[in-house]
Amino acid sequence: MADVVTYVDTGATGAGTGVDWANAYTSLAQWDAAEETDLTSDTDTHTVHFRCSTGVADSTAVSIDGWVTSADYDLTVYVAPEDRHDGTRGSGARLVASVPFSPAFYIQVDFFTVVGLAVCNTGTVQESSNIEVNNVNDGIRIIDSCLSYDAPGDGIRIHDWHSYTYIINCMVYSSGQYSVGGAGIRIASVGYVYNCVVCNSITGSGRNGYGIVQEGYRTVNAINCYSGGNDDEDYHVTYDVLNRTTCHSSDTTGNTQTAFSTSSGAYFTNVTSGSEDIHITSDSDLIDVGTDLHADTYYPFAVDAWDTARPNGSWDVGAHEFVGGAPTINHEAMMLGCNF
Amino acid sequence: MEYLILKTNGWMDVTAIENPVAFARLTALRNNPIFEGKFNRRQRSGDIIEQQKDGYWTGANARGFRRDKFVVVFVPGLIRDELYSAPLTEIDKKTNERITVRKHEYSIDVSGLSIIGGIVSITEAEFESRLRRHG
Repeated sequence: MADVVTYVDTGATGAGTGVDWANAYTSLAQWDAAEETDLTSDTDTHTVHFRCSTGVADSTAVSIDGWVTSADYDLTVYVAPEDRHDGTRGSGARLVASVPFSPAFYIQVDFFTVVGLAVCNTGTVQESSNIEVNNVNDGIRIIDSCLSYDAPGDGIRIHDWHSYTYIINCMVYSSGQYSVGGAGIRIASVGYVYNCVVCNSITGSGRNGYGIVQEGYRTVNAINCYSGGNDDEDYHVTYDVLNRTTCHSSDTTGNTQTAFSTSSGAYFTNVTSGSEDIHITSDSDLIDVGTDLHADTYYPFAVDAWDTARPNGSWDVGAHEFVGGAPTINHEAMMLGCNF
Repeated sequence: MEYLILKTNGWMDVTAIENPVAFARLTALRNNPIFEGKFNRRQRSGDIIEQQKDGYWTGANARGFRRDKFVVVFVPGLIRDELYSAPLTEIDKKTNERITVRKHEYSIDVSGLSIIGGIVSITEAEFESRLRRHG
């Protein structure tokens, strides 16, 4: 058994073999095509580290599909905190791609984790989501600290009712740009949506601009989320159950109504569609009102989207933990993060 | 335009002669109908993995790529067309959802080309003649 580690850097100018940063692959699609394998048979785990060292986005959509994984032999796409987006468009390691009739970042693998990736699908087709999960058997998928913005359709879309999905510390802005519209997070599997912020989803001719939507015949548990400024309901149940715990919203569908604003309620840094920044400021009503999840039964963790520690007993709602200054990286706390 | 083309088949194209153990495992996996869809969407030799502007893999500041896995086809003058690296999709009759049935709708036949150092330059006309649309 080996823990295989490979590298993708859009700014790399070396041999393109993926063995280190200097010789990194230059796109995730290239990495996927070269490295795809049966991890279970190989008895390997595989982690690909991704960054955009020269500030240039990865412009090729990727469908991660042909891998075979299991609980012990899984696949991870990882962006380190220092290479990660800052919660705004055009920052950090990102995939900005256009592909007809397909998501920009398509996960079709059973046991998969993505951490810290920003994704924007610049396509103009209604089915085009930013991040999508589909065609898996059973499995666990973790989408952690990712940023989705300006999706033509849904921001993050999860199919597959017979699997489990954890969406943690994610930000989803202005989904539904195409005329048909779209939701921020649409989830049909068993879902755990923790400390996410979803805003400014757009209703179109065919889809409602919901914030977080429970869609399939499975239960979704949302905790510490903020959903606001969406054209339609901030939390919406289609078929089954969407449990909400210390969830806030700008409408009445959350546990607590909190204004989606820079000058009241949530006190986000920027709420304007097209330039959102969900860092909260010192007056925010989201500070210290969340549920402490560091010992959560399903997904224990103790950091925000930038690996700032969340203090025991006084968690903020949303992806940003306010500490009174610039975000800091706490590597010890980061190690508490769960990676199934 | 420059095209990064997969020149080898993926692990799902293993044969019983090449690797009997891997082939037996693959056969077992294919008994699962969900995996069969994955098999149909497998990477195949000739797939257009990536498109980049002229000089990306061939210019003064050329990026590296794995010569054991890829070929770069340089076609001066062509413009980017997202369809070339897009998947082949269709509407599922049961769910009315769009599904991917093949990972790449288009491929390029690079057989017989004079590839030097992993790179070959061809004309637009030759590109068109070697472009294969699947489905």
